[in-house]
Amino acid sequence: MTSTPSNRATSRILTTRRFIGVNLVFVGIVCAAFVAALLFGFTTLDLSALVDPTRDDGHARRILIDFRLPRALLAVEVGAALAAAGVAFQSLLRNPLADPYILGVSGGAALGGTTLIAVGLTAPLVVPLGAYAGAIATSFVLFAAARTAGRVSTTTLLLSGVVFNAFAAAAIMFLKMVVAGDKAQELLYWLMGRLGDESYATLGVIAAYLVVGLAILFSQSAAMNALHLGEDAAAALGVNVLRTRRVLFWSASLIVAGAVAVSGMIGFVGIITPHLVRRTIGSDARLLLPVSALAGAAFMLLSDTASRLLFPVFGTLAPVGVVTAFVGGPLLIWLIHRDQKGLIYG
Amino acid sequence: MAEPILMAKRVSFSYGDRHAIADVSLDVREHELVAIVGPNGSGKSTLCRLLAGLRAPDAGAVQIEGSDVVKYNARARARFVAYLPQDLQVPFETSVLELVLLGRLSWQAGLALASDDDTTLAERALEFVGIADLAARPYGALSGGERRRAAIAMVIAQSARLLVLDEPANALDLRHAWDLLLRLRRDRRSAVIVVHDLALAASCFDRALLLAGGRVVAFDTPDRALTEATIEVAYGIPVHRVATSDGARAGFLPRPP
Repeated sequence: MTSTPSNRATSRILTTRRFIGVNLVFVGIVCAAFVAALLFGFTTLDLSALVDPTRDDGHARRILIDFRLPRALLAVEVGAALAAAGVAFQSLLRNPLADPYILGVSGGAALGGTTLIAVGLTAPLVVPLGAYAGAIATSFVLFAAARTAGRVSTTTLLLSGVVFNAFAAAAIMFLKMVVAGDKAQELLYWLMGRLGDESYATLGVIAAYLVVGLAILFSQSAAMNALHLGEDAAAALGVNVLRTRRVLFWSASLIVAGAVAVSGMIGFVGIITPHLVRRTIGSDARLLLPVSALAGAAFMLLSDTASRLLFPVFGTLAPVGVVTAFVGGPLLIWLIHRDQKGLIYG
Repeated sequence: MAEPILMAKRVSFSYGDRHAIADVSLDVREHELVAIVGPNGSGKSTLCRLLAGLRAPDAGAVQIEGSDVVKYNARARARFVAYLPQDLQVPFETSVLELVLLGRLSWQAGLALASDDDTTLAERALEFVGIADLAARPYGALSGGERRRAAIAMVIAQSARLLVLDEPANALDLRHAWDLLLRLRRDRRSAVIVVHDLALAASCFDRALLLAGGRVVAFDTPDRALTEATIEVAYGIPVHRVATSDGARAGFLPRPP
């Protein structure tokens, strides 16, 4: 038996211990980012008021419970959803550049949700359903357009996704133009991608979408590793390729719809997060999926905190989609430039 | 004579209106190595996919243990027949050991965490192809021949009864190509293997199937299936058969014009 080299390799493969250990590290990172999101904002929080009843006028408590906590929870949900969906779409397309935003799925979901708001259906349960319908319909159209002779061309898919996003943005702008003024404001944030102040009821609904979608995705993660090798190789390894692809596709669309329904079109989280995580822990989907969800949550928490901290600078609240784009865009271009081979093979 | 473990009966397959495989029959017996040879585009890879149950034939049937291979569920099929594609693509960074462990997927449940047995089988498979020392290396950092051997190790680790290998010797040097086939023989594996090197086909196999234009030109022991006449029919060039003095090994050279 070979000794040292294979022992080193064995320590890198996924074990229960490695799974728990790595996930715990990232849970810690999310917790830290969460605390930062609660502590920092454009008013300074008087922490002593929370623990000292004589000084408690309810102000600090209200900021914390009514504003910062739901917003931080929303950031966690949206970030985790977009990053996990990114991992799923990258597996489906076997391409590290796939992401719900680039593929147009976000755009479709936003358009679906927008349409419902434009016609006056704004209940917290209904809008995600409209977004889901939009996401699924978009994916069907785009996959059909990219399919020739039974094979899906990744390049065509990515290109039509970019085109569709532009189309969806135009359609949303059109809807914004024709609807009444108060609704127009509501529609605007689909385009910008922002985190608002959502009720705990809405957060619960989105959490349900996310938990169901993530659980299904995770149950397919071992098969995802095989899918990376291509349809024939995966099938020969014992994966029901058609069923797995379908399940990945529907559940990724589900969680994107949930996220887009409350936050609009936020770019770069779904692509940059898995990309960075892959560099850190490898590309085994069983670990990549949960860790990317955690890292996405942390990225979103920090982006939103940054946008709130920058309020005094700009005199207005920058939508979080702007922050993720400002951070993610240059970072992605730098990564692509630095490691072109890495994008193909890692 | 041993019972066949795989039977293809009058199998045909087309891509759209292009006939790739027409009326091909073959059987593979336990412990037998069968070579598939033929010119480019003669249907070798398509035949492999049909034999591995990855495509359903338009006509005819591929059977393992008497039942249609396409009727098996993916997992049960994977335990019976392992398949190596002609060009395995690994788009995300994966270590050699991680790749080889994917071969164990059909034997694992849930998250497919590797058991000690899985790891041992994977390491043995790496030793089989002679790259145990590369286990920790990223697949993308290997040379072409090393990648091919890592892919073969993945298929070996699958512990299937039958191997269907599409050009495993692709990118392998003389020594490693012969090593691979001689080891498969020594271990008495059952396998259907596409080879381009006619010397390998003539020297390392129990039987050879010569394909041309999707049809069988000859299917017999190598010395009867691969003759100057059949090779010329299949490849369209006149050849000269050369053999070692004991006749154990043979090859073909194109005749000068």
